[in-house]
Amino acid sequence: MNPQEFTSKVIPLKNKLFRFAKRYLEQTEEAEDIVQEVFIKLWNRREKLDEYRSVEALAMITTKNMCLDKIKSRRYPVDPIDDHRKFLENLPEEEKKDYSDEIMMVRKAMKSLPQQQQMIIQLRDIEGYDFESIAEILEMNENAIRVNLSRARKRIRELITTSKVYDYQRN
Amino acid sequence: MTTKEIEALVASYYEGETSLQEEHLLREYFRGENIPAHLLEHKPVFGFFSVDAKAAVSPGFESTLKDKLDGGRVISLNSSGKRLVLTLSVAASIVLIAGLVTVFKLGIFTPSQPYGTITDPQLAYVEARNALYLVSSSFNDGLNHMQHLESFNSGYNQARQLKSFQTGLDQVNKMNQLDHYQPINLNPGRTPK
Repeated sequence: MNPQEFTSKVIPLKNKLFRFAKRYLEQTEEAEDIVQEVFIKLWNRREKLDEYRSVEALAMITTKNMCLDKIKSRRYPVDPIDDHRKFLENLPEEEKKDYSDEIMMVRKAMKSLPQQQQMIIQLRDIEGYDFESIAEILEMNENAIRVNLSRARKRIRELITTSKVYDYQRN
Repeated sequence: MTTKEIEALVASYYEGETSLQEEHLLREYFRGENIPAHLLEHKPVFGFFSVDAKAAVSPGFESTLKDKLDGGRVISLNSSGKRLVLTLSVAASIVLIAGLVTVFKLGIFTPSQPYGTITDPQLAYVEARNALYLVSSSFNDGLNHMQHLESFNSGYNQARQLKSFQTGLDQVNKMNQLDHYQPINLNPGRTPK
């Protein structure tokens, strides 16, 4: 793969990789650093990238592995709420309406899921991957993905329903 | 799309049985207006997916990356770079160990002359005795200083007499119980003043 192809085919994955990394790390800056490193890794191997069936899957797998390494090497737990607050403060006015209380509630429910289920939701419901690609990226079998996807979706529904009841009782 | 069809899609969505096209349809549907009340609870779920799908890297991301890639100055160490560092550190430690071994083998730090040995037993006895005297005299000197601790002991004995004061205090304390007795109300019908 020559540098032009790399720029036109690999670099455009940046936002997808970033969202995936951010789902793992819950930190914007760390996620961007990881994606930079993923690109550097792929760039150093660009001669061999054509041998892969899907560079996108390779990029996603590399991102996943680097995020897991990063989490393992952490000495202090991160504060996702702090990161999210900074994110909301820097948000342009016209986008703020996207972040209603109800959507925040779904986000909270999402964060409470096991990591693997979060990733399945991320890849399926947010990025729109088919089961075959999800299986490849997460290195799981398709059946386990279907089961966990259904479980995760139901759990989110359950959590937002109970927190609504709680809000109602509190008021 | 009728409400019935949406209901069926939502149900199979939670079972994980919808196709990507159907899921896309659901996201589109819940982005719209005029959703019946009983379906409204699903709106934030699909709303969340649409919002989070928009997250993107910060504006300076690509130029920073291009700087790293184009200039060929790849800052992060790739695997061959890591191997080089490893090889260099192994080489450095070998040199260090070899250096230390040679230094000690050559005996640079050991004194070239022994400290002198006394061969005459009589003289050796005298020398050893003198040395021990020297040690014991300074030892005794230290012991003399410790003797002052005796006066500390006598002070402590006097302080112990305070114990008898404590027993007296305990007896006085018994009088405290007197406080616990309630005045007896002789006229139960009336509240005492």
